[in-house]
Amino acid sequence: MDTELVIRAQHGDEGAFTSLAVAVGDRLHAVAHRILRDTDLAEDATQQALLNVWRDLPQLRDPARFDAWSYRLLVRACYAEARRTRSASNLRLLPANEPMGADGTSLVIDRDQLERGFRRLSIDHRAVVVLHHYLDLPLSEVAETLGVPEGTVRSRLHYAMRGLRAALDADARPTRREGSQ
Amino acid sequence: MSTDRDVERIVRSWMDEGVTALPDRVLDAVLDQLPATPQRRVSWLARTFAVSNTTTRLALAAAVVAALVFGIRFLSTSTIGDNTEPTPTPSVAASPTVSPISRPNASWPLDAGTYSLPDFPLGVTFTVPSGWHTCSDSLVEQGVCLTQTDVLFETRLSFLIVENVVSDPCGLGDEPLDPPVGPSVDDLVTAISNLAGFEAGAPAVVTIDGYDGKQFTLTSPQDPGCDFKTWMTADRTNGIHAGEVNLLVVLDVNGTRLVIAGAYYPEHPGATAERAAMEKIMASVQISE
Repeated sequence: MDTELVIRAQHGDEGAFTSLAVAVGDRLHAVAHRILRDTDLAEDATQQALLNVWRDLPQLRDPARFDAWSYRLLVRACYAEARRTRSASNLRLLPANEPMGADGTSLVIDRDQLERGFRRLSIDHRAVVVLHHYLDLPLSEVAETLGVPEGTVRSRLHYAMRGLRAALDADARPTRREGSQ
Repeated sequence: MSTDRDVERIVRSWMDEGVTALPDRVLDAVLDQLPATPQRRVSWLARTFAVSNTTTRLALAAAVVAALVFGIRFLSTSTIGDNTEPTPTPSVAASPTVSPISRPNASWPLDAGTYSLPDFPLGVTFTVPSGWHTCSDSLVEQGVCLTQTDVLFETRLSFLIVENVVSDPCGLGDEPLDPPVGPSVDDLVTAISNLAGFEAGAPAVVTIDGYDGKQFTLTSPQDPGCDFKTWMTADRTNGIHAGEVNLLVVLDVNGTRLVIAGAYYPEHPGATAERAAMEKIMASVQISE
C-alpha cells in the first residue's frame, strides 16, 4: 500500500482516502464474503469497515501496517454483522460454477459439504481459515491481525480444518457404504 | 478418508471461487458518508501538524481555551435532568443523549457525562466516563462500547428487553425455546443459566435504583465450535464469541424485565479495568417507567 496515501488520508484528505478505498475495497469485500458467506452481510461489513478505516485512521501509528490493520477492522465488522443478523434463512449460497478437480471428479459435492461444514464454524474459526488459506497470511500475521496469541490461531485453525475434513468425509462415507454392499 | 493436504487443497480451491469485486454503490455509500464521519484524532498525530505562524498558533490556543471553558461548563451541568434539554451551544460531542437508533450500526463517540436511551421501552439513564461510544443494535437493544482500537472484540454494555432464549446455542437456525421463557426475572435467569455449553455463575440478589433483580455471569467456552447463540430480543438473536464473558443483571421494573449485559473478554490485558468500568456504569443506572 502507498504509505503516502495512508498518511494523507490520516490527515483528513478525502481524495487520498477515496484512492485507498478503491485500492483495498475489492480485497476487503472478498474476505468479508468468504467469512460471512452472504452477499448482503458482506457488503454491509465492508461498508462499515471502510468507514471505520476513515474514522480511526489517525490512530494508526505505522502507515506501513495499513493492510493488516484494515483486515482487523474488517474482521471486526464481520463479527458485528454476524452478531447483528444471525438468521440462517437470510443466507445465500455463493454461485456454483461446478469446476472439475484435477483427477476429473466434480468438486460440486465437496463444495456443498464444505459450505455446510464452514457454516457450522464460529466466526472466530472462519476468520482464521480465510486469513490463512485465502489471503495466505502466515499464522503469525493472522495472530497479529486478530489480536490473539499465535497459539490460539493454531488451535482455531486445527479445529476448523478438522471440522471441514469431517464434513468432507461425511460425504464420502455413504459412497463407501454403497460400494461395499 | 481425506488427508490433511487433500482438505487444505480443496478448501483453498473452494475459497478461490466466488465474489471479489466490491459493488460501486457500496463504495459510493462510503464516500457519501465521509463528510458526516469525523475522524478520531489522537494527540501524537496532532503533533505532526505544522503550526506555521504566530497568528495560527494564537488562533489555535484561543480555540483550545474556548473548548476547555465550554467543556468544563458542559460537564459541570450535564446532569440526568438535563438529558432531554436542547444543548445551548452547537457541539458535535455535547449532546447528552445516546444517538438515535435510525442507524443501528453507526457508532458515535461520547463525552463523559450522563446519557439516556432514546425510545427505549423504559426510561434509562446512566453515566459514562470518556472513551466510550454508542453501539446499539435496535430500539430494544441499546448500549455503549469502550472505544478500543487494539482489540478485536469490544467491551460492550447493553440494555435489552429479552423475550426468549434459543433452544440450542449451537444449532444451525435460531430456534426459540418452546415453550418460551416465562415472564419473571427468575424464569429468564434460569433459562440463560441452562443454555447448553455455557458456564453460568450462581445468581445473586441485586438492587439497582430501587428495582430488585438477579446478577450472574455467563461465560462462553474458548472453543464453542459454532456460532454460539443465547437470548432473543424482538429484533434479533444474540451471538457470543469464544471466551466472552457476560456480566448479566436482570431486573423487574414493575412488570417489565430489563436486562443489562456487560460483555468483556478476560484475555484482554485491561479486562479487570474494563469490567470495573462497566460495573461503575451499571451502578449509576437510574430507571423510570
